[in-house]
Amino acid sequence: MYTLTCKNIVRKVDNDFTLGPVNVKFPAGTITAVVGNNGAGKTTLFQALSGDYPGEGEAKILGHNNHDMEGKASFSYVPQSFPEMLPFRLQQLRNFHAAHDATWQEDRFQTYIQQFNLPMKKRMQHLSIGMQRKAVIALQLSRDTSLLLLDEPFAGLDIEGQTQLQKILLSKMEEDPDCCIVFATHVADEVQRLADFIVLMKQGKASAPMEKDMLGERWKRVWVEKPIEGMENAPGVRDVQREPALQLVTSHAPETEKWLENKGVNVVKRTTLPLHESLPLMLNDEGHTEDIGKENIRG
Amino acid sequence: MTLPIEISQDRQEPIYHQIEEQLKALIVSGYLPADTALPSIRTLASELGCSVITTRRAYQNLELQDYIKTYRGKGTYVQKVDQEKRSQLKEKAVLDALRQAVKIARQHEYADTEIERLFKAILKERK
Repeated sequence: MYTLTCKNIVRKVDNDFTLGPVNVKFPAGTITAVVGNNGAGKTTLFQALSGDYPGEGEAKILGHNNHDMEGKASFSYVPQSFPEMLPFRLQQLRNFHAAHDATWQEDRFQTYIQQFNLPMKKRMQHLSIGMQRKAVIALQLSRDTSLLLLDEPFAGLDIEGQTQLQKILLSKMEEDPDCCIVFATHVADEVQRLADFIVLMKQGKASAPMEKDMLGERWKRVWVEKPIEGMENAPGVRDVQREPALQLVTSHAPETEKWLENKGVNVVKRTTLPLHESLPLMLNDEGHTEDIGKENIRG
Repeated sequence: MTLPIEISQDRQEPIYHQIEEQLKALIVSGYLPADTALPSIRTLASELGCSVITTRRAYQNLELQDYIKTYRGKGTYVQKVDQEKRSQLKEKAVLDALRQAVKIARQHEYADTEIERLFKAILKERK
């Protein structure tokens, strides 16, 4: 079952940048990290999903169009910036949500306020960026929805806040196993700790969601006992490093190892390439972004 | 409860298979007795840094083999494992360990007679 379905979403931002067409489906009960370099279109995608401004295509949330009242009520959205909230105090924003949102959870809100130590009476613009984001997270996660769209939710949070947010998101998934979280990030570690799927974004295009663990099984560093003729061009091999020990970086470990086996060369050790090494390699790959994900989903 | 499971990156087997095998060993050895509550797929995934697709797959496979049972809305629990299955699995665990040792010896180009000599020497070491 899919919580969020994007069909041919296109947003022309200016003459230099167009998002899409994006066709991605996000399954219920999963956490997806949207990863891309600056300017890849992550924020434009989140804005489009949240129904912010018109364009081509359609986003459906649990069967509702994201522009419909039902659609808008069924997701929480933490944008990257929120200028319209800055003149207000958290108390006012809370009152607004509590009065208009049928799913408002006051007890949850009070817990977040305490955890994040948020001042209710100060104007938002007088808070630090991190505190502002914590306030918006507290407001949006106190609404009982089954889709969270979070545009760089960890950015600007202190270390304690990052740990708290991770715990909050995990306990949200425990309470509501059909919940779906989609978050944007630049930090590989956040992907490693939270995500089930990864969507890569490059120049406005989005890959299909890739299983994080399948990437881990394919992207490896393999140490071999001796150099072999043609190993630079062996299947999957991206890089050969000779110092301090001979090692191959591969994007298709099973194929590379098969090749090595056929050559009669022993593998000394192998290790999964950490995401902070494999993701940049993927983001720099040529070729169609839309095609990247396809081989990284189990049948 | 955090389970004493460790994912090895030096293995070629998929992560779900590693989780499956290690959980099986914990159950068969009696370390996790019948009716022990196991962590949810989400909790286990976050502890191991893997995805719920992987932990769900491991749990599903274990459930198919009657090691664990998931009750909707309640959680996942260890099942009773019968004696015959238990001894089969113990033998398999020992065989796997020996196989691994032989593999390393052969990588170092030891002949079978040398491997046997080393094996007997280990058996003579004090228990």
